Amino acid sequence: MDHQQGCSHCNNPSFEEGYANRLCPECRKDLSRHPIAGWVKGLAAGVAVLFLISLFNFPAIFNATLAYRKGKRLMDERKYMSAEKIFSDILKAYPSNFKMNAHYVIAAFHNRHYAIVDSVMKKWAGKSPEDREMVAKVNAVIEQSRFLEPEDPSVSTKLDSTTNRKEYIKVLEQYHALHQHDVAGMLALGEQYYIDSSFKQAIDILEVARKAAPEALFGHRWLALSYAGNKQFDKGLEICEELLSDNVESIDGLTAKAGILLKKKDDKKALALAQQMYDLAPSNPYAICTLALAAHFNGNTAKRDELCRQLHAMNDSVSVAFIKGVEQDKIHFRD
Amino acid sequence: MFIPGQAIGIVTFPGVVVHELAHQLFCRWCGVAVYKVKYFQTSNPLGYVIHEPPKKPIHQLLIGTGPFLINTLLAFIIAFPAALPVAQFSAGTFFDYVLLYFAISIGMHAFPSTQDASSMWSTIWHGENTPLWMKILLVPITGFILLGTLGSYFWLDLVYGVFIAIGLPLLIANAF
Repeated sequence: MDHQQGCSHCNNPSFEEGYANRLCPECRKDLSRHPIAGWVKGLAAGVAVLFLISLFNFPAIFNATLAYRKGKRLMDERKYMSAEKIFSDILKAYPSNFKMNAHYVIAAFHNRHYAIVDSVMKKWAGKSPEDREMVAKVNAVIEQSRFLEPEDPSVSTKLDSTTNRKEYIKVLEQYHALHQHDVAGMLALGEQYYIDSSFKQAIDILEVARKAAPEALFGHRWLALSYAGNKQFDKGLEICEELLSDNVESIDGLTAKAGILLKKKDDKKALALAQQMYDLAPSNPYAICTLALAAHFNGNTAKRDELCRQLHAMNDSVSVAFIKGVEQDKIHFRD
Repeated sequence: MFIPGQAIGIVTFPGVVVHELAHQLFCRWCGVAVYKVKYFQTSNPLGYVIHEPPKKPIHQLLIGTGPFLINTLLAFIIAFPAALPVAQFSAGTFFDYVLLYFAISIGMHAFPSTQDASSMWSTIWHGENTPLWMKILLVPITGFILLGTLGSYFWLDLVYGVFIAIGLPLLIANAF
């Protein structure tokens, strides 16, 4: 038999009804506020600090993750210009992260931004990253740089001592005669033939290089433009597509394609393409010059002049002179 | 290799403490008298809270499932900014691994114990004032807890902790 009539804790007769345990409101309140041990408070405070730090970092990390995933997707889609911008931004938060630097280097190489490639490669000097898969991907891309420098470096000294283009071409021709399998030599010679408006010779040598090293796309811009110069527009566009299939956002490929479309008088299409290229690389002189040209042939003189001012501000007098020449009909850009 | 639960409990003790503290705080918020709290011990059970049976069934439900909600939420938020750099772009710092340790420890002790399930069942299922919807809700909750207890023999609690700390952030990131 229960002899207690009140609160089981303090014998207060006014205990609360409806509970299994007989307690007055004050005792129930006191007991519900059972003290928390000091060390538990300390641990809870530590967990709360971690919670707040994580909550604070949550948006930045989440955005960085989304950007990283977007960058990887752009790499898969071969949109290297956009991918390079994304990785450049994420690297501000993770400057020494190998994976991101590796993606950045690959994108920059495809965009011909060799200064960026060199700066990242310098950071890796003497290190051996564990991510073998990414290392292999970087090596596969960087390995192509052998097509950029002639095998025999002494040719550079000879080229430096030339005084005009004809001499320059002659040195390269002699080099090619002695190093017939050197693709870098062929590409350099092809470029010079194009600049010299020797389109037929440019096509011949660049086609030889294309067959010898199909993976080397460094001469494709000159080859496409040489075909255009030779009035073989469709062949030129085919070469542009080859370049763009490697890098959808290749400035070389887009410039050449827009230029050929302008020569074909497909002005609207050329303007759209030039605008797309300008949006990708608004400070690239080729992109600005091509858009100015496209604006000119589409009758938008205000835009052409504005772009000319932009080129002028960048001290690109050659491009400005070219556009002025086309505008004043001193340069015969197309039939 | 057999690893006793106590050894895991010692390694992941922050999760046990958070679990018991959540029980205690829900008792406080519901005005339920608490007689004794053991935040952590090396014997079985690793921790417990002795409290009076609540008057309202909803209070029993909150006290019983509170740690599951609190531990899960804490584990997820604490781990999120660490899990993504570690799992996504191999950029984990020492602090990221500290966060993951705490998050997994807390997450793996989210599951209520069979004692929690038993208390909820006796108060809610057999309670005279329990509304029908709560009894219906109780069945899957109890089943879930028993499944968790059974699964803990196969490290389900650890799997759950890792899922909340690493798997869920990745799933969310993948959804965007």
